[in-house]
Amino acid sequence: MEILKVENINKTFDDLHVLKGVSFCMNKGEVVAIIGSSGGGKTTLLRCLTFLEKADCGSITIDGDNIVADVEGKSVYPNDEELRKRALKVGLVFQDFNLFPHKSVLQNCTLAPTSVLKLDKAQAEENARRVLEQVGLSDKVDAYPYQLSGGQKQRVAIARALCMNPSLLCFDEPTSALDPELTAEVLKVIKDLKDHGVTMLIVTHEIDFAREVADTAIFLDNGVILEQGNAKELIDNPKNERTKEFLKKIAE
Amino acid sequence: MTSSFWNVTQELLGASVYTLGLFALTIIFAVPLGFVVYLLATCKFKPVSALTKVFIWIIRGTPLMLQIILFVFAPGLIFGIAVSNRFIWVTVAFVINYSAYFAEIYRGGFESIPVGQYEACKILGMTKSQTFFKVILPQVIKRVVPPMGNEIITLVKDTSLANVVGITEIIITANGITNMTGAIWPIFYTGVFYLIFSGVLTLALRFVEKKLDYYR
Ligand SMILES: Nc1ncnc2c1ncn2[C@@H]1O[C@H](COP(=O)(O)OP(=O)(O)O)[C@@H](O)[C@H]1O
Ligand SMILES: [Mg+2]
Repeated sequence: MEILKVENINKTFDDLHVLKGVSFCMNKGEVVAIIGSSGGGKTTLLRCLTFLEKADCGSITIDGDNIVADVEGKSVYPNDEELRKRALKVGLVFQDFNLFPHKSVLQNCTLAPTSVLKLDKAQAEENARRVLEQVGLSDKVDAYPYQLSGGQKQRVAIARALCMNPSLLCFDEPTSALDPELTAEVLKVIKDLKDHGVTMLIVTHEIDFAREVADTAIFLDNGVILEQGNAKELIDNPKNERTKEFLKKIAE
Repeated sequence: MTSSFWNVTQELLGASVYTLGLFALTIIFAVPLGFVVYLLATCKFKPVSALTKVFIWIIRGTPLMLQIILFVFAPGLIFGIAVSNRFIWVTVAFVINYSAYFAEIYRGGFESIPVGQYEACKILGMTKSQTFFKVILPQVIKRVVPPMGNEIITLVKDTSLANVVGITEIIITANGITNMTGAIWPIFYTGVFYLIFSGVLTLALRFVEKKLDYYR
């Protein structure tokens, strides 16, 4: 079943044409890794797919819901309130976590479920505790973000996103703000999510991780998808010259 | 009229009503009004925000004493109506002055919240009002309490400026006693009143800061 369908996304900042017609699809349970050198538009793409940024043209369909339509070469969005509700299908884990510092770990995970999904408190806490156990933070439910390591913070951020039950979970370089010794615990959690069938779109510089966990890899360069396909194949035997160059540089 | 310690204490306590009243009224009105001024200063409609910024600049750039005199005497000079209750107009001057300072404090508080907090709320599907009340405001409050505390302590001392238009607050009262009895100590004795008042407030503010200290 198709979870995400992106067609011909274009995005311009002032005069800077950042995304130049990006199209791809994702199936349920699929894990897609987006790789590419910095400045290539990876973050912008994720921000368009999570509606933090509005595309200029192109369409976005999530879980069968055509949220952004392309009408005569222009992206058409529903009104803010409508968009807010329909965008609940997609979650995002930020590079720098963006946890709520004044809320405990548990409250970080129950705030949106209680206020947005209107779950009752007990139900939301039960879900949150289960998800926090899944990311290995059962002993930290009452801690505050400042008391956690970077890796733990990122796992809370993942749990917070999962508590909203998104059809698609996006990650923007989830380990690049972390000390090298802390990346493993976060990558392990993401791998575990894959085994639980979570559909994920991951922007990452961890090529080994992408190769191991992702089903599909996309090489985004200068706002264009230059190559996409089976992750192992693309990473081991890139066809495109730019992909080869990029992979060689990152291996150094 | 004698300058016995007990007598002077009673006189000054009586005069404290003005000092305390002015203090309390300024806090009660300037705290919310400061927020309105902050909103106007950040209004997307340019003429409103520009005008508000000029207002803040004038209020913060001129002495409070001058503003007090203006509010008490200007109505008489311009419209020929004498101000019958000076205390009210002094209070208005204080409220306006402090709301300009509070507005700047609020601005600092809101600007210190990273955009990531707003984006996290948006991604989680929270509405604008949920975002404001559940995520942004609590963090702003923690950040504005220390600078607000400083202003509040300054306000305690600023209340004495009301004597410039003859409000019988405690210093002017002590001065009157000195003039009548020749004893100079009542003037210095008012310092004790200020110290006790600002001391109590400092403790209260510290208590609030402690309460908000559960996170960083
Ligand atoms: N809000 C913005 N305003 C202007 N330019 C932006 C904005 N966001 C990103 N850009 C520019 O878009 C380009 C792509 O950025 P980004 O999507 O962050 O790339 P990546 O995540 O692949 O490093 C960069 O040149 C960046 O400077
Ligand atoms: Mg990026």
